[in-house]
Amino acid sequence: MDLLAADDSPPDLALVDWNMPEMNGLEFVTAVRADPKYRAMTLMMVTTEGEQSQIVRALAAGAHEYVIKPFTPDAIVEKLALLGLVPNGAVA
Amino acid sequence: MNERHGPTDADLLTIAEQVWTSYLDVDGMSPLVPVPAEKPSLDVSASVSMTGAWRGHVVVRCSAAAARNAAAALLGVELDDVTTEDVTDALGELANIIGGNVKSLLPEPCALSLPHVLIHGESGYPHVVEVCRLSGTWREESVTISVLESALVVERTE
Repeated sequence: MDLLAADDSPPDLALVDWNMPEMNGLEFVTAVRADPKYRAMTLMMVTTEGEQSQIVRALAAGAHEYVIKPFTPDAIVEKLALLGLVPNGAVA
Repeated sequence: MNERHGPTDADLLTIAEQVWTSYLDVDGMSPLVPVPAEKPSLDVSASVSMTGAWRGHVVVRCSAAAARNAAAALLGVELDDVTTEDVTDALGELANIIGGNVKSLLPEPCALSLPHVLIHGESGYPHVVEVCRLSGTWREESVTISVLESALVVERTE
């Protein structure tokens, strides 16, 4: 969150792992969603954590997508296309 | 007889194949080739631990050369440019991914730790039993993946 706060122009997209030092992914998503400054930011969970309860909690907290590792680059691009962040033509 | 839940050698191979296909062998030219169990290389050891309904560790051990190759492939950098920090990041992520997939085969709920990476040494895992292992060679270098369950829990359930 400190890195985000230090940036005048927030990123359009954040890829968020569940297991991180300092703050876990769910806490990060919750904090970002609570701040109107980041309302437009797309949040994609990219993690090894695949329990259904975790997926539900992350999406309920405000994550737009949930990708379980391992993943291929094409899978990420496909998700980004669904979110309108890359043109559909970018999907192989 | 007590019914044990946990991953098997075959599960570990399936997980490793998915990881290699996604990150370390994208072009299909250098897969991880299983070999008969051998003494694991101890150059680099990366592990994640699990607590909760199942307690134990998933440990990835490999040679220094395999670790550098993994870092180059995973981070998309030239082999000559790989740093020690790259090796630590890459092997930790490898242990995290494999551990997370092992976790999906275990009873819930379980919590996965952050990865721990040791170069030129190995962490001690007291009171554990190895429940499955995958020994292999990748680009002619040794790679071993082990799942270790806390023996204290095993004893209590038997």
